[in-house]
Amino acid sequence: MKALRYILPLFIFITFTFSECEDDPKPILPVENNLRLDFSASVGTNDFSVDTEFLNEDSHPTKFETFKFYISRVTLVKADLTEIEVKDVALVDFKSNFSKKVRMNVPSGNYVAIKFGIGLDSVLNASDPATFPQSHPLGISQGTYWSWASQYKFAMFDGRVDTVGNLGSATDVLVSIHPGTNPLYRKIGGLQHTFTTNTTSTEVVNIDVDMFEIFNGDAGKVDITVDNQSHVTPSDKHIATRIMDNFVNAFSIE
Amino acid sequence: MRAIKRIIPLLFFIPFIYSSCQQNDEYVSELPQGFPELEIPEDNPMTNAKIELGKKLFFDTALSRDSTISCGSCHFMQNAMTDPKRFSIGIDNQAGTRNAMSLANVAYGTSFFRDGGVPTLEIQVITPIESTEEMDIPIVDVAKRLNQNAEYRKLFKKVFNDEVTPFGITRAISAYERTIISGNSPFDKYHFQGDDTALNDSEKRGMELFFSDKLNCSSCHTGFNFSNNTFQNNGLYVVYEDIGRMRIEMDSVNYGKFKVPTLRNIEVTAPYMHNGSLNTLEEVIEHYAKGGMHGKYQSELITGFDITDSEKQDLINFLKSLTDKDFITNPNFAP
Ligand code: HEC
Ligand code: HEC
Repeated sequence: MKALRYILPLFIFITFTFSECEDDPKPILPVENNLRLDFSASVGTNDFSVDTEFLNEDSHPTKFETFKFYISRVTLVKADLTEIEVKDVALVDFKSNFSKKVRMNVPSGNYVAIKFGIGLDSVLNASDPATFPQSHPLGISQGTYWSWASQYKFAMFDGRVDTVGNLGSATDVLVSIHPGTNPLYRKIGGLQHTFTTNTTSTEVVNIDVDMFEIFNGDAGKVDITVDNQSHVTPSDKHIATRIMDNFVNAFSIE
Repeated sequence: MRAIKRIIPLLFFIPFIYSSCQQNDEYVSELPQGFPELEIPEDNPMTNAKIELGKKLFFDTALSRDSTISCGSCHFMQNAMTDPKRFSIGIDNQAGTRNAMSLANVAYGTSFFRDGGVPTLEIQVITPIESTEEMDIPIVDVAKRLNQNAEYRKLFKKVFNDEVTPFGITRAISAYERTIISGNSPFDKYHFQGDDTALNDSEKRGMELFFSDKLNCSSCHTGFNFSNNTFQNNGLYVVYEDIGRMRIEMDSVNYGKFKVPTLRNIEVTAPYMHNGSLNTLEEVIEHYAKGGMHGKYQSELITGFDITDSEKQDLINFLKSLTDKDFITNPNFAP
């Protein structure tokens, strides 16, 4: 019986040691995501949605079935101009209202600007997509991975443009522009916007992206009736490059 | 004291319980002499059960959309895990545009495919599965499909303690691929295992030629695997239909560059080059002897040389001494 006295504490000790390996319960936050970036898209002064016809800058009826892009290294600038990275990567996908919103938890404070990259920096771009859970922006099921090149498509524009007066027919010109590869990663300098975050409510920042700027901005025009296919091969890389150069200037805070 | 006598065996027993929960199934590879140690990625340790699962997946046509094509449809044991067809036939009878590569010693690769576009063996697995010309199915759907199968569910549970996932599929197949090692050819017996009789006189003369400054073969085909793992334009064309490495690194200096392939088992891996355009080793040697096609981006190491018919025969005999008979008959590498 004396032996038991020794053994019992030993057992208790062991159980204790092993249960210690489990994570401590996470502290409960008053609000789950206290900052949300709500993206919307426009074509000049009109709203853009996927699967909805619009007139492009040459007044050609156009429709995109897919419009999505990565933003990465989302960074907030404080009033004293110090910066803090608040999210590594998100996929902004216009297929649904939910997937157009980027949610994150940030420290409470006053901020004066938002910065992010369009596409993925070289570290994120080198990820193995099979190592992420299904819903992760870099997961294989997002349909954004170029397996032949082992890199991600930074943005996807897939759709059709009409030149003869009946969009949705066999005469449509198909558009598939997928910018990617490390040299095409772009950073936006900073969207000026003064806002405050706290722990009890979600601050919403509305960011608009203008299709007209993307296809006809400072870096030049991409006429999608002609330049409509780019998968970043040497022969079509210039199209994707121009799109990314324009993309940088296509964002504004509403 | 009696208490201690009871506690001590108990103490021995406890670590035993915990270690038996882990998989004590580590794969111990017996590398051929002269081969460097394998670098195994941290997230993919090799176990016997995982390798077995990887082999099952490698030869399973369920990894293609219509269940007609497996990895083994294009990588054959008797051809040192290449395809004797110039262009392999993928799903719906589609032919690809490149000749299938040998998987011998692929564990030592530093990048994958002829253009080196893929950085790890794990990521490489996704490419043929999702390629519309090869197996044409999202790997997520393969996982869903295999999850319907009780046998696979059991195996993935055992190996990964999980259901079938893209993670598990890519890890198991690449663990299997890391066992595809070839290093027991007559050349290996002569060079690494000290058997002077393993090569005959003609093969020895051919070896001298191969490593000579005149032929310069070993400035690219060097080391235990006969490849320096670089990308080179070996002068096949002036104008390349397939621009090779430039597809990945768009600078024009990469025009027509392809990965320097291993020459191990070269006797059984015809046809040759990225597009299988040369059918015999004679044609290959003639190509190098005339110094390539002299395109603007051809490597300066390809300069041409004079070679007599009997020297040519010696060189071919040497190249054939790189055939590892144990490897091309090893049932581990057949379904
Ligand atoms: C339809 C034929 C086909 C199928 C099916 C196929 N391969 Fe291949 N494999 C090829 C060809 C062709 C290449 C060279 C392609 C290139 O360079 O672009 C290749 C190259 C490779 C390489 C690169 C080797 C190196 O040294 O760089 C590996 C590894 C490989 N295959 C493994 C697999 C695996 C694993 C599967 C199954 C998931 C598979 N293959 C299915 C034809 C095929
Ligand atoms: C400048 C580097 C370089 C030199 C020097 C060189 N090779 Fe190659 N070799 C290559 C490359 C690159 C390839 C693949 C080309 C392709 O895929 O189109 C290749 C392919 C081959 C192949 C075909 C392999 C296969 O699996 O398809 C053989 C055989 C070969 N070389 C033998 C030789 C011999 C013999 C010599 C010396 C006479 C030599 N090489 C010199 C770079 C070189």
